[in-house]
Amino acid sequence: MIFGLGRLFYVILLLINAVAVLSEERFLRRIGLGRSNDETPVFGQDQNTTKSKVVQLIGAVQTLLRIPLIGINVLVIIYELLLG
Amino acid sequence: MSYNPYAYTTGEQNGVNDRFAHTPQHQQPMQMPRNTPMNSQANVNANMNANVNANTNGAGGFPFQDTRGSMAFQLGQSAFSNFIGQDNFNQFQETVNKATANAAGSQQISTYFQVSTRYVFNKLKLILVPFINGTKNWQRIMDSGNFLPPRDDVNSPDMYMPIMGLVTYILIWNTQKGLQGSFNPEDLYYKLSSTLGFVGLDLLILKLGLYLLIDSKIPSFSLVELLCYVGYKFVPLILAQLLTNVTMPFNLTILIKFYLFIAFGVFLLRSVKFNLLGRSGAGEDDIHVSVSKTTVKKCNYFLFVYGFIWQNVLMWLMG
Repeated sequence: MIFGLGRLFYVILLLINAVAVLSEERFLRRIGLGRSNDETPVFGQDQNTTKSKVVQLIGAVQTLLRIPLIGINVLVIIYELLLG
Repeated sequence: MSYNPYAYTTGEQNGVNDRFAHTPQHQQPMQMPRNTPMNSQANVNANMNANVNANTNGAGGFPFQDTRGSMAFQLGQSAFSNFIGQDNFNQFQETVNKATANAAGSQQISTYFQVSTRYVFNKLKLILVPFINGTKNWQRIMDSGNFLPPRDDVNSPDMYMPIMGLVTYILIWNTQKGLQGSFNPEDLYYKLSSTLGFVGLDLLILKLGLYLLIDSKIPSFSLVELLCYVGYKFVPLILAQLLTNVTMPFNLTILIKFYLFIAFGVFLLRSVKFNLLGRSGAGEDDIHVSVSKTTVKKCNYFLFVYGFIWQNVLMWLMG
């Protein structure tokens, strides 16, 4: 069996890792997804665009999950070294 | 808040165009769920809380009464919200409120299991031949602010069929293996893991797409309902599994399989699309205005790609 719950866990973990390592100054701001340059919407403008949601999501992942990710990654690496 | 040119012109009268006039309306529903669980908890744990209150009052009230303490508290709070970002902080608070509200009403999941034989039969018909829906109506029926349970409404999602379908699918897959003479008890677990993995991936994609496309203020599907819609794909999958036993010319099997998956795509697309933005509670006018045409269009595109292309790929992989 190629794909299973364990694989799905790895996929999600790696994807979250990929989001968490995106650098704010070097990368995100340059493609317009930085958190600092989100203009508060002017009157009449749509407040909840897809782009602002992506910005929020990236920001939330980076602030909330950075420290737990360290622990989970360490655990997974040890597991893979010993038993994988 | 950015500069608002209309702030002083219409601010003192009704202020229809003023965005500040709308803020109390938006804040009120956000604060309501925060209060209700605490009240109920206070009623339940009245005895325990009485002790705690007595202790804190006896010790001289709230610890932040001290001016230095309150300044430090405010400083810490502002530093915290600066660090996380005000948007994220608000979002986090909202999420916590929503989670506590959901925990209070978690017995609502049981409504998704209220099914009858007639409902299941009609639903199966709907999944297999969605082109001849008798009533031409795909919207769920509202009754005094709540949706009717599946027993009374064919278009309502239910959890019964996905769960039964999951079990049946795994058993049938393993029976096939047994008929071929290569049954292995481990396969029961492996197939379950793989199936759950696919369902989880599917649910993740659907939820993420809807989250990115739809304004979070607009009420939309809960995760359980999305899980229901994702789980209906076991019905065509089981039939496709059974089909491989019947000896038929090769092309016919492929054709029937193809039809089953297309039909499921139509069912999924219609039942999700017509119920996606239709729900609203008291403030009906507000919500209908704020759903823009572009949002609906984008949702339709996403649901098409998801329902037809991705579901077909996934079901070919699984079946």
